[in-house]
Amino acid sequence: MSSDSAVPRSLPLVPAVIFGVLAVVGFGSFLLWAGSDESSARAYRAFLQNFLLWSALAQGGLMLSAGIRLTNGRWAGPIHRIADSLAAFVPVSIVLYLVLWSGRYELFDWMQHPEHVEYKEWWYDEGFMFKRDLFSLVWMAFLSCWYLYMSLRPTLAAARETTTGLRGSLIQTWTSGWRGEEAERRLADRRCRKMAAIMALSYAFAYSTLGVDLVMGLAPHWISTMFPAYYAWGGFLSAVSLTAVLALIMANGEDLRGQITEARRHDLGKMVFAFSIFWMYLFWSQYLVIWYGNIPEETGFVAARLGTQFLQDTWYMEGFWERINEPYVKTTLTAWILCWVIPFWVLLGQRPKKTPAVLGTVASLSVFGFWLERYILVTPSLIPPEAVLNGASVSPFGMIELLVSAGFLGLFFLCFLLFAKVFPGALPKTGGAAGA
Amino acid sequence: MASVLGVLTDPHATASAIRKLRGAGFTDLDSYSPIPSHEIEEAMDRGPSRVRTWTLIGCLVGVTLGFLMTIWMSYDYPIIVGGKPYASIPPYTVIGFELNILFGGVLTVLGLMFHGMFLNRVDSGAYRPNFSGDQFGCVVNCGANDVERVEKLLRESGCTEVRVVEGA
Repeated sequence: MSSDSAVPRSLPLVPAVIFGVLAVVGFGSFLLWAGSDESSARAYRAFLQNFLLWSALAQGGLMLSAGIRLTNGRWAGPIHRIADSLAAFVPVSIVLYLVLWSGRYELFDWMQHPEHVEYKEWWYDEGFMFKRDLFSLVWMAFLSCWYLYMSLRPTLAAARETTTGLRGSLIQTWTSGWRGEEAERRLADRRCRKMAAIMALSYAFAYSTLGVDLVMGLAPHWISTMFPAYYAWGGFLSAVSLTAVLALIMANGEDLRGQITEARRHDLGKMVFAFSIFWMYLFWSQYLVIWYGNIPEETGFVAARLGTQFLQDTWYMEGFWERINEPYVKTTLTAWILCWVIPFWVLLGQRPKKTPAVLGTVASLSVFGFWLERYILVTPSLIPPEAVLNGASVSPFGMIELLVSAGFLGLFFLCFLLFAKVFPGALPKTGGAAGA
Repeated sequence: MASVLGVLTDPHATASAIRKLRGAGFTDLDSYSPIPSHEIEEAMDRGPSRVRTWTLIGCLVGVTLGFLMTIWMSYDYPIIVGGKPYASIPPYTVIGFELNILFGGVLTVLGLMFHGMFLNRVDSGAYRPNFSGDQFGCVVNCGANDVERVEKLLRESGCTEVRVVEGA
């Protein structure tokens, strides 16, 4: 049996119960808050923050897998099946988008006041926005399902013989017209590589569109040509980090025992390190021109997050600490430190990349950093710093934010576990040769 | 002191032979490979390359020069751009970064040439043109009493040819 074989088995009870409870409590609380006049806006803000994080992360996971296939990468071994499994959340994000849409008037001021987006009405049109975002998500979900179907079909050679019941019939359906394992693998490889190229382009378009609509749409006067790429890349980088975390967590479990070798940890570390630099590069490319140009349409978005002087523009430190205490600045800097400063400086050497505790901690902090970063992309556009100075209550760690985030976390990992373990059981139970 | 050369045709077998020899206590080894191979490099266990010191020095010099040059130029010919101070952090970060890469890269190449051409140059009698073609070589420097044992280990590791080298 090939080492890359799906092994359907039962859902692991303890994690399933924990994630199930988190999902029920989180989304139950969201529904209660979304229905109340007092907390509705805050609940939808937290929902949007998490939607931006988890939907892009899920799709980014599949893009990592597609990228490995496109570049004919042999280093990953079973790691690309972890990345595949993140994408189980992709179809769910369509449903969550519809939930998000129910709170659109709490988020997008211009929907009730079209006069606020003069000259941009053609783009900021309620119906047009709904259609293009939904189309983006549905198109990506369609491509993702097709890719996963083709990619995983040859791995079901053994499972189609042994699995019975409902799962068995699903696998039989999935593998109808079976050509034999070797022929299936050749065909899958050829088709998936073509699909991977289409998906890479589609991801760039779809998640740029979602970034424009769901983040830039909150501050529709802001102009940025770099932000869509920055948002889409953030989704990819957070998926790489989460893949590294999951690979390390499962390294000693029955699925991947002996498979997460030192060489593979080194490769994962290199990816987190290098892609975090590119993320920072995109940010800096935009920050620099906005800082220099000093045009009001551009500076507002950055000033709301990094302070009125954009933190620091000279070699003199005068007033630096006062600027740090402006609203949102500390949260923004924390996200920046977690997503770039720590991954860059800690993973600079070879040894930290190969050390599970170091790589796992840095990658976990990176995912957490992206959760904070999504908060900072959403909240200051809706509750500006002036409102915070006048007493508006905002915190990334409020009860509403934490519970809604717990709901997303639970649902995401339930989907992951179902796909990786139950159907189709994407993760091989025991690996074959541990390649370098 | 004697030198024994083993000729192999496969990088994995070469790495395996090196590991076996090192395991048997023969650590004074050299190898020839027509391709760069991490596996052989790891088996040789030579430790980190000294070239990286050159890279670090180049990067530090580059980033320092990048900032110093731009600050000096700004104050030497002061023009206010976009209402910003003459010397500012954000734009000069780019110059600092680019010169960091440039100097780091250039000094890496120079360091590589220096170490490869002058410091570590070995005109070994063991070298043969096929080691730049389709064969791998493993040279073991050992005591005269160990020659037989080394030859045996090399043959067991899959060497197609084993011989004692003169003048290595």
